[in-house]
Amino acid sequence: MTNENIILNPLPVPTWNSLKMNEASYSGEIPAVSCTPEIKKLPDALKLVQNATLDGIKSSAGELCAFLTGDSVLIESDADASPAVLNYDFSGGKTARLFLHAKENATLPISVVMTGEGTAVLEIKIQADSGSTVDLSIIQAVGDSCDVITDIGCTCEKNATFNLTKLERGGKSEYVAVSVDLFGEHSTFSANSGYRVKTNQSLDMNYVVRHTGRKTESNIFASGILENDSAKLFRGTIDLIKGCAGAKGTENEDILLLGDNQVNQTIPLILCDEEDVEGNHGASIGRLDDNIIFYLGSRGISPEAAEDIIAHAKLDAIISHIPDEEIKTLAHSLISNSEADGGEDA
Amino acid sequence: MKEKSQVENIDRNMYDFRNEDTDNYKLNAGLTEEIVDKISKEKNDPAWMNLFRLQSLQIYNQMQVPNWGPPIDGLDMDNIVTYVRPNTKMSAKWSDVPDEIKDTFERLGIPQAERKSLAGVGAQYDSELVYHNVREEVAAMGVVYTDLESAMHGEYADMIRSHFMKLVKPTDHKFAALHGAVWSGGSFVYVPPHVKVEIPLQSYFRLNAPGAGQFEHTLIIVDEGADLHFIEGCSAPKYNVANLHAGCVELFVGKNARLRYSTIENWSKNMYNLNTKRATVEEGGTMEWVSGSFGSHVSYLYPMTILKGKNSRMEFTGITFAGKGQNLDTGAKVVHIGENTSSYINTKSISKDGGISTFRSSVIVGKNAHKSKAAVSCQSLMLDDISRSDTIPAMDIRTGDADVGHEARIGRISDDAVFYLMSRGISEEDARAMIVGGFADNVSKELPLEYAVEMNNLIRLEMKGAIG
Amino acid sequence: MSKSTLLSVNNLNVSIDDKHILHDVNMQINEGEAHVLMGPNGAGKSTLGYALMGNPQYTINSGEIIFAGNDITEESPDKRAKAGMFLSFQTPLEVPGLTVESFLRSALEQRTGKRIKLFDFKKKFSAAMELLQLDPSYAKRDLNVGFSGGEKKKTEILQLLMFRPKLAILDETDSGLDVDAVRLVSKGIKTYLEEENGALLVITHSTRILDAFDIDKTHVIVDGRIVADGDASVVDDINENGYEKYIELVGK
Repeated sequence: MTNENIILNPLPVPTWNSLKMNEASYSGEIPAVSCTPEIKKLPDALKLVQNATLDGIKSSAGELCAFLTGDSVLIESDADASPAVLNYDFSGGKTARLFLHAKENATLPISVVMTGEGTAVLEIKIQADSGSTVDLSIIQAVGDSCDVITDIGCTCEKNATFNLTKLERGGKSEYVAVSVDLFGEHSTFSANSGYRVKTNQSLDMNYVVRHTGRKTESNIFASGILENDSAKLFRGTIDLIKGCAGAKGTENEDILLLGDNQVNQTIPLILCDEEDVEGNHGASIGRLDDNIIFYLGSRGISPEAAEDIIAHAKLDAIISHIPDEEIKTLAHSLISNSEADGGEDA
Repeated sequence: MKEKSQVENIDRNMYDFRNEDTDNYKLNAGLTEEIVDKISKEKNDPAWMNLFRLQSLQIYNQMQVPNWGPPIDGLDMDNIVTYVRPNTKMSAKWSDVPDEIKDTFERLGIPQAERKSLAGVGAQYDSELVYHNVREEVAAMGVVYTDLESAMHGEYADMIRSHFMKLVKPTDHKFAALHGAVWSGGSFVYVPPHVKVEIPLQSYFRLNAPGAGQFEHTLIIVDEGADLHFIEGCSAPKYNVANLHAGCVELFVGKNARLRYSTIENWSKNMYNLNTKRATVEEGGTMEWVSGSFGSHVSYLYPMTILKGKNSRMEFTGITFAGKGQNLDTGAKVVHIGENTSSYINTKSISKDGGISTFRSSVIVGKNAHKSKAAVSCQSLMLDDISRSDTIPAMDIRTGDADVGHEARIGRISDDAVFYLMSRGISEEDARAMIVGGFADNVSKELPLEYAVEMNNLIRLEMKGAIG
Repeated sequence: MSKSTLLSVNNLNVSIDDKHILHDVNMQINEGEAHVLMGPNGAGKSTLGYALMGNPQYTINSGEIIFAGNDITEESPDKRAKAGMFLSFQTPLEVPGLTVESFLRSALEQRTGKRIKLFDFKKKFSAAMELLQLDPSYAKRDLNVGFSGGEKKKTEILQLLMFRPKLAILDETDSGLDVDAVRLVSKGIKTYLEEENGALLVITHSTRILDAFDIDKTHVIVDGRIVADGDASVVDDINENGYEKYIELVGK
């Protein structure tokens, strides 16, 4: 179905409208066809339930929620599980809904690989009970001309951990919404997002972390490469809510600009109504430092190759967070294939 | 410095005295074309200004209040008396200023400040410039420092017409439009090419009379290679009726010129401070802002710099202290247009006793601003858990070879630091005040000494009784 | 025995930010020769190293640099490196995200223009690491990030051993090193000289590192001018009497 301008990825606290960063407006389709995963790996410790959902998990995707219907898959873990792998092929335009529930003290490592030519909408809602760990890696390798919308929501109870690794490769217009509620004390969220936005592509992100529990920790790291005529908007909000004493939130961005004419927007919010907290944001944006180009040049590396090597290194660092070795290898091959040279052999 | 050192012995009430409301001229509340016309006539506006006011009023009536930022529900424009004129005409000599008004200035320490070698005092009492004195040596250098109304009719009429609200257009936002319609009073400064004004010029604004708004306009043109430091200070007594301040500051920094604009704002805590400040900088020019926000009930204040010429640069150093009942939304904006331009925004904010402090900024680096550098650093300090501190920085970078850095930090006073100072025999209250003073050090060291002392005293006053 | 010329610097004038630093510098280094460039602080020693390697911050106003038979005066740093020139930096740069191992491999592949078999690379790499007594864990660390001064210097020599250039310019490689580190770094340089018959230009103001090999020629630079050329005895002379008499030469 085609919709008139859905509002996606709204900033929790708006700022000047003239900046056009308060929200994204999406006029493409939200596919009604459900996307069924191909289950590549499912360890015994995990239980798969068709068409089950989880309630009460917030989203930072804006108006998307109203359009999310259709088949869903729920994966539950109540033990120490080894990694699961799901492949989603969005060819022809599809919507996928995945729910993850890690029960008390369980672990739930899972990798999701997105492929296909067509509009891809992926909703993932996660409930991490006390003491549980959810390790989610998403490899986005949908066709370069397709729209991609990802909506991730998670709640963490006491001592729960949610680790998210996201590798963005491809997509004409990509929207990523990540909403995390750190309810329980000592719960933690860590996100590592790596992207390479190519010419005429755009990436719009909206990360929102609400610290409610005491001594909760969050760490968002987004690292990427912007090529000629590409656009990226990173919204990152750390919300330190009253009562979250001892909480710590950090967001960092590292952007390498290759070429020119990029639209590179960043808006990192830290909202704070608790005294005993720490909130940090840092960003470094720029081309490769001339001194580094000279240093690498003095070792025989041309400026173009130096850019590629550094770009590669940035994504490699993100990939190293993926728990599943096979997916790691896949991710390496994906970023290598997208470049002219510098392939890696095992 | 002796007179100034007494400031620390007084409490906040010093700033809360008021005169009897003896103003002889007051317009009906509310804003209509008739009122704007009346203001215009009273001001003896040239025809273009009269038209400008009426056009601005139209824009004002069409525009909405901002849908972001602190609430301004407490503001009811229909009850704002937009124009109040005191009982006096402009005066160049201190002895001619009426006693009642003089008393007010006396208590704020203005004559002392003047004696401390300040270049001139243009103090605004209500909406009219009442006291004006540019030291002779500065005037002899060709520097013009006068009120805007009379300048509109004099030698600089064309210059004013070609600059007035060209930088801040009435269409910018609702309160800029309001300003365009009802502006009154303010300063005009022109520094001719290559003139370096060694001593700072100063203007001290005051707002009196219940429900009165203040819409002063400051227009400063620093011509090629010239150099100026301008100090603006604000303080007003407290009233129960909501007060509005919608001033406008337009600064034009010429080629290789330098302007430093310092403000310590200490409006009374019922003020809605919706001020707009903007500077444009030509090739090789430098704009420096030093900004302290202590007063007001609600503030929207984001001085903006347009780095137009290549190699132009700006530096913004700011501090905001939000105490009980205050919602201060402050920050800075910069637009890099020219090549090799650089900006540095460095702010500190403190929130206490339920105060809300928001740092808001935008850094835009345009397509042609090659090799530009922009850095933003904001630090916030929370002094208790009933206060709030938000950071909303936006960056939009459109060139590949810009170097942009940003860092933000929110935190609290370290218990270890308090303990360390206390172990050396310092009381907890003093220890905390010392730490906050140190935190604000980046601003105070940018201010002339007497202002730094006043600011530190303000911080000390704010910190009194911080321990529960 | 006739050695062919590897590097000739002819009437080189170099400036940075419009400041003229090197004046009419001439120098000739033959294959396999070890040269020492000495001079007081601020004489322009490092500038010469950077200019030879082609640091874009330095402008060559006039003169030429001929390396291995080609005029490289206008060449980019990577082309010079591929031609066989190497500069060890006084303060090597930190490159977050790039591990030592993948850096070395990429650089080697770039220099040769072909894939290097992982096995061959690992063999060469561990031999060099062992020689410098670097812990294998360095391979996985980001290049120079969080390295101590000594570790950085060792990593520079590690690169020298991996790349095997024709000419190695070592800029204050021994400064800030303890005795053991100097010994290891010297061993690395010796290995390079012996196995590669490489040429050497050592930029230094101390002489500790010079014990490791035989010096063919010494150049003394003062105020951006080469004021004296000589043999190894010049080093001894400076050790005993300092730079005074060389500084006086500038006045003439």
